[in-house]
Amino acid sequence: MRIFLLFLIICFTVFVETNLSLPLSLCALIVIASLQKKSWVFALALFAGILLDSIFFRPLGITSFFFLLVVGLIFLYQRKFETQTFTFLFFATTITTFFYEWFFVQISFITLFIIFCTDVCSLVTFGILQYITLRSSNH
Amino acid sequence: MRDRQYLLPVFLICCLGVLFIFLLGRIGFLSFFQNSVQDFFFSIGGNFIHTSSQNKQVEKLQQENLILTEKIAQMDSLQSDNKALRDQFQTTSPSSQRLLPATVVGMPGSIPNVSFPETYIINKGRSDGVQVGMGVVIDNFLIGSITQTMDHFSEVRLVINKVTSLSVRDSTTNAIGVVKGQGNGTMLLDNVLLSDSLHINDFVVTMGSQTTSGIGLPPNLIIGKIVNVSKNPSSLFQTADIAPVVALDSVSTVFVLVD
Repeated sequence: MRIFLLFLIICFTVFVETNLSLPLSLCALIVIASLQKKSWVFALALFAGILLDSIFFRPLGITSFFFLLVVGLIFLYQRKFETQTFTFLFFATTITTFFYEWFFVQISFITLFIIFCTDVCSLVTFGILQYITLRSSNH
Repeated sequence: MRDRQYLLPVFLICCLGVLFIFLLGRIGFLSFFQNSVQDFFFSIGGNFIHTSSQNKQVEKLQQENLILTEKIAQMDSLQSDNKALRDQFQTTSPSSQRLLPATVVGMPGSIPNVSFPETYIINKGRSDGVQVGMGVVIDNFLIGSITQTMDHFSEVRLVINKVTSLSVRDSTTNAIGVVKGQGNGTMLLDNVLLSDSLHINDFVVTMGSQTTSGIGLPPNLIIGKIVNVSKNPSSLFQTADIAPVVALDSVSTVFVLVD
């Protein structure tokens, strides 16, 4: 049920990205990968990438490969260091959004604005999820 | 803990899956899936992109409209003279282009009221007769050209796109040059000889790049107007900044030149 809900969230982020051109799917994947070190996160990355490639006329699979690499690197990083922190999320979102814009969109004067928006989205989402987790564990 | 052991195999399987999907996509086997995804997402979200900037542009467009109306009147006069001359010399008129109306359903890579789009996604595709290379216009103003097509949607590369490069001429002085998109809502007219004249507020039009099958940009489509001229006697060419006449960030309907 939770995995199905996450697939719906990915569909929603892809829909928003279609209209606002903010890489929210990447942001959502980074937050999910930081919180859940599970193999199905790779399937989410594959699914999100295929949807984005179909919508934005990119070669099928290219965005999926980028997302898989990002998720894989986060999982590798999790072996040694803690990833469920605001600092890690901030740097991970900033760096991956920059490379996403560089490879798939373009680097321009609005890139900083896009990076700022995705940073805010990921940090707020992570904060909310951490708060919910903390409250449910207290109860 | 057990799930962590499967991370690397799952990652490798997903990578192989991506490669397989990539190969299937290249041979066009997944076009049905792509068309379905585009139909779903663009049918829902196509109206959201036109809400924010149109009201702010109305006043500016009205002012521009007055200036352009005057220009149109002048052009009408020139056209009637041209027709008379053509009739006299019995030259055949250019064949009429069929215009296919299309709605802009996506502006990838742009944020409303923050950045200019460089590409459009329109809701007409191969099934409607759209082909790669066809021009996209509003009235007599060039918007861009078709770069990719699917069954029901197509991608339009705008004239302000950094990749765009067109042979053009000044409609007043007939100076020939190359317009290159700058990616920030403006264009640069380059490769104009120093001996040629460029004036501010001159309109820049296409020279034509149609193939023998009729696909491409016809001549005399308005690209923009000159807002600044840079003429350095020590340079080989003079340049000019070109501003598009149409507000490309608030366009909702365009027309594809099909024939």
